[in-house]
Amino acid sequence: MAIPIPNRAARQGEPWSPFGDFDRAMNRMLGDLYPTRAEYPPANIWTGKDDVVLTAELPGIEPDDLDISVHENVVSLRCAPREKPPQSEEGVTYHRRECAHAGFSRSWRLPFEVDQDKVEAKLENGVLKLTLPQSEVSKPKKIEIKAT
Amino acid sequence: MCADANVMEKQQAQQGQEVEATRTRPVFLPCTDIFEREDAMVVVADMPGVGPEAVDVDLTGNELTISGRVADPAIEGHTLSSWEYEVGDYRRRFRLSGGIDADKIDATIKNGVLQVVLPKSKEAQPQKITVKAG
Repeated sequence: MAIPIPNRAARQGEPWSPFGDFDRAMNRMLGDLYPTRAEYPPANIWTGKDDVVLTAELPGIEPDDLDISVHENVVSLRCAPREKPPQSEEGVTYHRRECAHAGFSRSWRLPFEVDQDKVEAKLENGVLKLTLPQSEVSKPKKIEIKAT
Repeated sequence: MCADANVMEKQQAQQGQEVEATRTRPVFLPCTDIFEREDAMVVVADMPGVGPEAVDVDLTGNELTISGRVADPAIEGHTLSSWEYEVGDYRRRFRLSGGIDADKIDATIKNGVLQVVLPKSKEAQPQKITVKAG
């Protein structure tokens, strides 16, 4: 299976630069290690014929903590901070703290208007799978040409 | 770093190369919190995408190995158009200082977070020693 190229490396129409190829090669290499991530949580977007599926890894989040809202072509995801393991209890010593526990808020702009009634959200094993179908109204209509 | 599936070259085994997984999917180290209570060590690891039947916790001697497998993330009828995180299995090993009661280890996984409680054996628990004024 081919490894998908991150958006950053696939820009067209960039002005020519002697460092262009080198930059792109470096971005691609580093992209393998650190995929483009401007905000948290990182999300992957899968595009289908009539809908878009957004997946995000949200370990330790309960469905009640998540707030998903859809308006026209914008999807917003908001989440309360995660419950931290006990830290101020008597006799508790931390050896290692790596997991993130902060809350977050992030939005995505889609290339089409979303049908709000048909949105499906599934949170399983800490992975969110959000199915966003395109609204019927915004789908391109085939125009019949009448023969005269 | 893309593997060219058409050309199979013999990979020379290097000295001390680590044991490989049978699948080519990447393996990640899960983010882990470790804290010590009076009666137990607690290991909390983030493994999103791993369900209860796909997680393994193994304590051999003083080495604790936690691992989890995830399902193929591909969605039928869809192509990946924006990629910000990679999906892979999880595996991490920790060396504990000993004194764990292996029979009483309790591991639970919920919402992709694995929690392993390793009770300390009686000898390893702090013994209260009263100091007499003399």
